[in-house]
Amino acid sequence: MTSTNGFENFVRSYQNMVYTTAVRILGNETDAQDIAQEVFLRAFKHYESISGSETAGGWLKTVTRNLCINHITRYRNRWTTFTDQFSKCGNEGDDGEIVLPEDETSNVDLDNLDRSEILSNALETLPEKQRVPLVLYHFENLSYDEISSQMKVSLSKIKTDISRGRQALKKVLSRTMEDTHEFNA
Amino acid sequence: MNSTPENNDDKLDRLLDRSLNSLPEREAPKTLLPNIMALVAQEQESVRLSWFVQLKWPVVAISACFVFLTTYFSNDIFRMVLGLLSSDQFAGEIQGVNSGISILSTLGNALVKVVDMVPAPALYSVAAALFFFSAFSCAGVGTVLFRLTKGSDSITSHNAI
Repeated sequence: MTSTNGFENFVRSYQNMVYTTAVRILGNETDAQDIAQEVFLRAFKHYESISGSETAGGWLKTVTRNLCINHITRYRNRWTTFTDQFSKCGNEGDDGEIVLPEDETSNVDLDNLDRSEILSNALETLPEKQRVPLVLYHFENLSYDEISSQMKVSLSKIKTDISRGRQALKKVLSRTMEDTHEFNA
Repeated sequence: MNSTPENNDDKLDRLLDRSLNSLPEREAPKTLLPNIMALVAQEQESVRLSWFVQLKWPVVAISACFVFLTTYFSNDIFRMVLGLLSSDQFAGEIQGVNSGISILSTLGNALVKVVDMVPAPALYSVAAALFFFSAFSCAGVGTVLFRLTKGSDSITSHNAI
């Protein structure tokens, strides 16, 4: 029988990593919590084999990533018909422009906010199609090809989305620099 | 030193990479650990239950299994009922009501006689074999349907270990 105390310590050690990965990919704290619970439940079922393994962290990260992508894909399939209808109704230019995240930080005193916090918020509020490949590329170290096959989206679309996501983040970053007078100094 | 837009863009690119790489982990909510441990306790509890209580087949699998079982055994049940009705007590009345049923009852009688000719041990062995075959077929069909319905959720990352 698996030791519950041992498993509790295991969860304590990895919960931030699993939760952070899920939040970054999903951009939603509630869904991220659900995914984290599912990940650790699966970890519990395989606890005897993974507890002593050095790759436990990697295993957890991979499971988290796969569950998040499954979640997004299922959600995307559910709403494809709706978004198709929506784009036919005059939103055709959406694909060609850079979508900036909601500018929640512009009216906030930047001295009180860490830049990483601003960037973190900006990342989470990026549109899903830009955020997910960007996170998989930067934080999960997946190649364009791997992202393309996992998300079942063309390679060129992945590259474009990552580039647009980066441009949106750069705008946020440059705004913080201007406000703190760092950038042009 | 003058900074051109290209330089600024390069600077921003590098800064973005640095900033992304140095983003700290987020702290998991305080409720996450208790929720996980509650789920784990629930999981441990379910392990203690009998295997048939633990079965959580999807409705589709249960329905398919039920239809399969009913179809499979309906023939046996029909023959058994026919055998009962074809006894002397009811045979006359039934023949009077419906000649079709009479033919069926005759066939049923014949079947019963054939079955009677088979030695009891062989009969019971065949019955037991049929029963186990049916049970395993149902379990097989159910498992296949379960895998099919749950297939999309499966993760291949277990091999990562």
